[in-house]
Amino acid sequence: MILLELKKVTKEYPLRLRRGNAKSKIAVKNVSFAITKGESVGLVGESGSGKSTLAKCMMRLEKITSGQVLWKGQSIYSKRFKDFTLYKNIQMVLQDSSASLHPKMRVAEILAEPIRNFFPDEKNWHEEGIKLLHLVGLDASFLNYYPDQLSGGQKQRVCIAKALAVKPELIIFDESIASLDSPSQKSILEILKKIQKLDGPSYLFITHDLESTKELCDRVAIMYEGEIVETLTDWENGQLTHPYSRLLFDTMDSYS
Amino acid sequence: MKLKRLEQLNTGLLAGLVILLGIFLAGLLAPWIAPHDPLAVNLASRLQSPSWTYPFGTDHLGRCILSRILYGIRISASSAFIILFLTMLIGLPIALLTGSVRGRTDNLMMRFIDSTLAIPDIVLTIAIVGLLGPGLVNMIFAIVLVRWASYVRFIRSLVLKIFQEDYILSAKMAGNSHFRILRRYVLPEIKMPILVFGALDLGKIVLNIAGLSFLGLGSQPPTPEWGAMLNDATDYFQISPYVMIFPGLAIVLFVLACQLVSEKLGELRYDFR
Repeated sequence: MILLELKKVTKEYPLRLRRGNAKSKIAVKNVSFAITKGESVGLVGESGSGKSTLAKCMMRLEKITSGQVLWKGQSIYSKRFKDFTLYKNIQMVLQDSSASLHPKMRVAEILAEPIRNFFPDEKNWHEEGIKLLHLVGLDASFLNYYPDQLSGGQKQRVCIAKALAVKPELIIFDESIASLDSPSQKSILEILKKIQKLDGPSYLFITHDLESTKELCDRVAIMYEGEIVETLTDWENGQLTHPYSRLLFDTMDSYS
Repeated sequence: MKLKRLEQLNTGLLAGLVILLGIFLAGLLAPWIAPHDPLAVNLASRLQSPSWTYPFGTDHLGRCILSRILYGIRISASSAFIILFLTMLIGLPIALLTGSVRGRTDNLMMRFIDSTLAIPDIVLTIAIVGLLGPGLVNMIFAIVLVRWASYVRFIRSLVLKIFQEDYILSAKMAGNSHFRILRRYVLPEIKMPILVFGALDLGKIVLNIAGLSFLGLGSQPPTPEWGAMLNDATDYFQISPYVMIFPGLAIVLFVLACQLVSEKLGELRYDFR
């Protein structure tokens, strides 16, 4: 089943340097793309290639210039599609975990909020919070901590737990794992794999690092200058044709 | 106030708060501590220098200046607080709304506010009081009408900044309603800056009230009010400077205390969790 489908999505930013000069910068050009249920997809590209803009379009944080973004066949830009429905279905883990946690809220409160908002019948926030923390590999004592008492990796885990609390069908990771050291990256990826087997959310990993997608992704779309130039399904060298994706693949190879 | 917080208060802040508290207590207890009736005219003892019976001297009608200053606190300070409260009451919701929703409403509101801020405060206030007629209530109304715009501007800028933060986006994704985000995430962050701004503004408002009363647009004689007392004093201060010095000092003390509190609060804000 197709969850999220992008049809010929184009996003232009107007560049009005002078009056009457109606030039614009095209950040995303004619992108078509779909994510099915239970799938892990990577979106790889260099800085400025439009991958974060694309993620923002999926979360309705930016208005698209043309094209369609469909959630199970329904446009997310239609008036009937409420914020609540959107966030119930799609959650995003942001790049900067320290900035996305409110500095004056304890982990317990941070985790209780989505549970209270999306599952009003669930009264036992504390238990649920502990369950979520266990899921991402932290123990119950973290409930009483403030975000500034946690390390970067722990903060990112709390962010992931917060996204998981909603029990969404799709989680978008916007460069959220790339900033961590490689052991924590690895353990988080393993945790995510485990959760996917358990609950079955789809993942979209947005990153500039092809290597980190190798572990988990069934499919990797490579973006270059606002377009998806290639989709990598098989980790075979011979299938890549675009010069940029070849470059990406070759550099990855030389490191590992 | 919790003890832990008290420890963090520095001497400057404490001094400012004590002065302000003292002024308010004096105003509250005026009937008991004032040596004379503030309205009692006694022409036999007019324009006297300070003495044991009249600690601050007497004015041109022989009224006790100390008693008048003490009763004046009730008018000056309480109307300053009413004005501060009303401007917050109008300014805060508008600022929270325009700062967080943006769009056309925000634009319209800001252009309207720009246009009110283009005219000097005092001129606009005088014009409004002039239209409504002099009097304490009309003056309060006019000052509120002029001042709320700068509050919206200030608070909106704080709200705008907070709404750029990632944790607001994160809070939205956690399914919080807009109102809850404002209450839970934005209000606690802007509380201290607003307090600092408000404390500073309290002094300005007292000056404003005194200025308008001095011009005869505020409270009317024989009501004891600091600005009005200065106005009364203009004809006599060359013979007896006390009629002007003491009300003037009262205003200066109040304004200084407000500024002290504001500045020291500004130094220690954000330290609380």
